[in-house]
Amino acid sequence: MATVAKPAAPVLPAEYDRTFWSPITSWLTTTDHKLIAQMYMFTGFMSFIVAGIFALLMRVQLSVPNNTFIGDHEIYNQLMSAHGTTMIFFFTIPMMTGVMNYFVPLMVGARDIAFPRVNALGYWLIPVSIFIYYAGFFIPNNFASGDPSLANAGWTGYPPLSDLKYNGSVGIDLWCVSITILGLSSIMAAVNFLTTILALRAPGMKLTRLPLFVWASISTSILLLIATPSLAAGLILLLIDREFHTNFFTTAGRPVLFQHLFWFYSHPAVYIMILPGFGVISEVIPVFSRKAIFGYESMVLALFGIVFLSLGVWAHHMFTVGLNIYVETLFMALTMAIAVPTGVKFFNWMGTAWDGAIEFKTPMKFAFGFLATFLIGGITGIYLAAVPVDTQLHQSYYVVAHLHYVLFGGSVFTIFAGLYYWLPKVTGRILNERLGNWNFWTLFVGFNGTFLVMHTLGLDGMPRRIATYARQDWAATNFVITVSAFLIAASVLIFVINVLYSRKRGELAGPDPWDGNSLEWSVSSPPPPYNFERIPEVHSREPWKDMKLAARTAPPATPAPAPAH
Amino acid sequence: MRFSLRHVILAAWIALPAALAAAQPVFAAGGTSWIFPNPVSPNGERIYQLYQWITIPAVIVFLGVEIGLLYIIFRFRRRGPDHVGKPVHGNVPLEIAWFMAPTLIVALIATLSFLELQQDFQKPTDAETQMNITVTGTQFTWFYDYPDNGGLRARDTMVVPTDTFVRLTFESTDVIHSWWVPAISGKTDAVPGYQNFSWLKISSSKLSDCGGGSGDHTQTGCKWHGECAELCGVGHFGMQIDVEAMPQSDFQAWVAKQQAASRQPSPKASPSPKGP
Ligand code: HEM
Ligand SMILES: [Cu+2]
Ligand SMILES: [Cu+2]
Repeated sequence: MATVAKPAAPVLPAEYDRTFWSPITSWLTTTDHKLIAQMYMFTGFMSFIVAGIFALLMRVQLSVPNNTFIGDHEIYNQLMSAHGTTMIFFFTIPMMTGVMNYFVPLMVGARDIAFPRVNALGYWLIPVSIFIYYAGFFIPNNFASGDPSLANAGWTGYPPLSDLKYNGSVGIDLWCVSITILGLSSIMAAVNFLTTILALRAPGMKLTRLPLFVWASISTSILLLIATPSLAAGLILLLIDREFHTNFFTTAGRPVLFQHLFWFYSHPAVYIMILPGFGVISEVIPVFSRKAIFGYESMVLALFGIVFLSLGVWAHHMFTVGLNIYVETLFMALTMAIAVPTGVKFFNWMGTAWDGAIEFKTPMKFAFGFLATFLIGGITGIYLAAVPVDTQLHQSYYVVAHLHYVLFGGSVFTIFAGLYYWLPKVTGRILNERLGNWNFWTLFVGFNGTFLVMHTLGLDGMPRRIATYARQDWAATNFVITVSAFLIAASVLIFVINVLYSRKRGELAGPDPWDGNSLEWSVSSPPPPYNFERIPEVHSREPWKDMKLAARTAPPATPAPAPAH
Repeated sequence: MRFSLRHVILAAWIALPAALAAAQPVFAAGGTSWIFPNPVSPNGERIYQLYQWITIPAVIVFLGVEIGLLYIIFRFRRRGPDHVGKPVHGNVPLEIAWFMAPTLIVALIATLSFLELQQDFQKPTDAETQMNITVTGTQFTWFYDYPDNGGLRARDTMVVPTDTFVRLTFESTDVIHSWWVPAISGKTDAVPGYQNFSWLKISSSKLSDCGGGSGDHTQTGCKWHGECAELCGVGHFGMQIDVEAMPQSDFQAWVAKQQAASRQPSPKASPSPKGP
C-alpha cells in the first residue's frame, strides 16, 4: 500500500462501463472470465439464500415434537431433498467455480481463461440445470395430490426409493436430468482451469511458484474430471430404469450398485467443495500474518494426497449395507488416512500464523473460524470412519452435524473469507469491517449453536430425514437448534446488507488493499477486461511483493507494470 | 488487555468439552448425551468402549489444536505497520513430525476398529446361534418372524428372551430400510434382494434397571426403543421399533399366547384383515 497512492475515484475502466452497466445483453453474451465468474457467484449465492430458507422451514417443523407446521410429510421430504441438492450442486459448486474462474487467470498472469466460450456455456448450463430441477415445483404430483413434484428421496436419491415402482413423482426424473447437466458444466469448467493453468501462465510462473489457491484449483479440477462421469452414469441408468423399465437398480436388479456409483462421485465432491476453500485459506493466512506460507511443498503434496485418497473411500457411506468386513476395513483405513494430509495442511496453516504479525481483518477472522470449526468436522469424521462406531452414527443427526461441520465450516466459512478478501478486487470497494465483524461473530455462534448440539441427538437415536418425532426429551435440544439457525439467517442478512452498502459507500479499495503478494493485486480493482496491460514477469512465489519491494528500493526508471491505470 | 464479548466467546469455545462433561447430568436428564444410551447387548457394549477409546485422542487433538489457535490469536498480533512475521518458510523435521503423529493415531484407531469388526460384525454361526428372528422392513412397518417358534409373526415389537443369543436376519420387501436400536447395537440395512445379519444377547442382569435407564420397564421385562434410519418414503418417521426382553419363561408364555391368538383370530380383528 505504501507504494500505491489511492486513486480519488473508483477505477472503473471505460471499456468496462459498457459491459458493467449497459443492458443485460452484454451479460448474456460475455465471454470475459470475470463477468462469468460474477454470474457464477451471484447464482450460487441466490441458491444459498433459497436453500437456507428451506432449512429454516425444516427447522421450524422440527423445533417441537409432533409439530404440524409442515403436516404433509411429502412436503418435508421435498424441502429436505431440495435443501441438500441446492446447497451442494447449486450453491457450493457454482460459488467455488465462480471464485476460481475470477482468480485463477489473474493469479497465473493470464488475460482470460483458455476457452472463453466453453466457459460461458459452462455457466449457462447451471441456470438450465436449476430450472429443470425446480420445474417440479410447478408440476402437480400424481402420487400425492395437491403437492408439487420436487424430488423427494434426499440429495442422494437411493433406489429403490427413487425407482418408478415406489416413486411416481416426475421430480426424480427432473433431478436426474438436472444433475447430469450440472456435471457437464463442472467438467467444462475443470478442463478450462487445467488448460489455463498449464498453458497460459505468465513467463517465469513455474509450477513450483503457483499460488496455493491455484494448486487447489488444479486438484479440484482433477477430481471433477475423474469423479463426475460416475455420477452421470448412475443418474442416467436410474433415468433409463424409470423411463424404459430396465432393471439396473430396481429390486430385480442391484439397488446398492447405485450407491457405489453415486458415492464414487459424491465423496470426492466433498473435496471438490472444500479444496478451493483450502486454497483461499492458504492465501488469506500468509497475507494477514505478514509471513510466507509454511511448508509450501508439503501443502502441495498434501493436496494431491487428498485427491488420491479421496477417490478410494466412497464405501464409507455404505458401512451398513452389508459389505464384507475386510472390504470395510480397507475403506476405513483409506478414510482415516485422509486425516493425515488434512492434518499436515492444518498444522502448516498454524505454522504460517505462528510468529506472524497478525491483523484480524474480517477475512482472517473467517479463516480462523474455519480452522476452529473444521477441526470438529475432521474429528467426528474419524468416529464415522471407524466402522463399528459408524453403524451407530450412520444416518443419524450425528451425520447431519458432521456434514455441516465439514460443508458449512469448510465451505461457507472459507467462502466468506474469500469474499471479504477478494470482493474488493471485484467491486473496487472494501466491505465494511464493522458489519463484517458482526457477520463473523453471529455466524460463529449461530453455526455452533445449531450444529454442535445436533451431535447429541444423533447419539441418542434421532435418525436424519424424519419429518417429525414424538420423543419429548429431544424437544429442548431441537428448540435450541432452531433458534440458532435463525441466528445464522441473521448473519447472512448482515452479509447481504454489507455487500449492498459497500457497493455504493464502501471505502475505495485501490489495487492492493491488503498489501498482498500475488499477481491479482498488481492490477486495478476491478481489473481491466484484458487483466494485464503488460504480462508480468515472475521471479518467485510472491511476484507482486517482489515488484513492490523493487519499486521501493530502487525507484524504477521505467514505470512499474502495475497498476495498469 | 481489554476484555470484551469476543474474549468470552473464545474462552467458552475452549472450555466447551469441560463444560459439556460437567453438564452431562443435566443433558442426560434432558435426554441428550455425548455418548450412546447405555448398551445392553455385548456387541453394543464393545462399540461403546471403542467410542470411548477414540474419544481420548479426539479430545487431546481438539484441545491441543484449539489452544494452539487461541495462543496464536492472542500472542502474534501485529504491533505496528513495520512489524512483519518471521521469515520462516518451513521446517522439514517439524513437517515430518506432524505427518507421523496423525498417522500413528489413526493407525491405532483403525486397528482397534478392525478387531471389533472381526469380533461382532460377521454373520453369526449356527453353532453360537440359540434362536433366529427374521426382521422384515416393509413400507412402513417392521415384521418379526420366529422360525424356531412355530413360524410366529409379530409386528412392531420384537420380543426376545434374555440370556439368549439371537441371530437377526434382515430383509426388505420394497425399498431400503435400516433397523436401529441404539441401546442394543449399530444399525443394519434391510435391502431388497439379499439378507444382512446381526445379533443381540440381552443379559437378565440388565432387566433390574433396564440397562441403567436406557430402556423402559414393562410388565415382565424391559423395552428399548429405536427408529428406521434409512429414508423410505413419506411414512419413514413413523417406522418405530421396540425390542422387549423378558425372562425365558415369560417369553414362552408370550409365544404360546401369540400362537393361540393366531389360531383363533378374535372376532374383532378378523373381518378386516390388516394388510402389511
Ligand atoms: C443455513 C444453515 C443451515 C441449516 C439450518 C441447515 C439445516 C439442515 C438440516 C436440519 C438438515 C437435516 C434434514 C433432515 O435430515 O431431515 C440438513 C441437511 C443437509 N444440509 Fe443443511 N443446513 C444449513 C446449511 C447447509 C449448507 C451450507 C450446506 C452445504 C454446503 C448444507 C448441506 C446439507 C446437506 C447435503 C443435507 C443432507 C440432505 C439430505 O439428507 O439429503 N446445509 N440441513
Ligand atoms: Cu465420503
Ligand atoms: Cu425408513
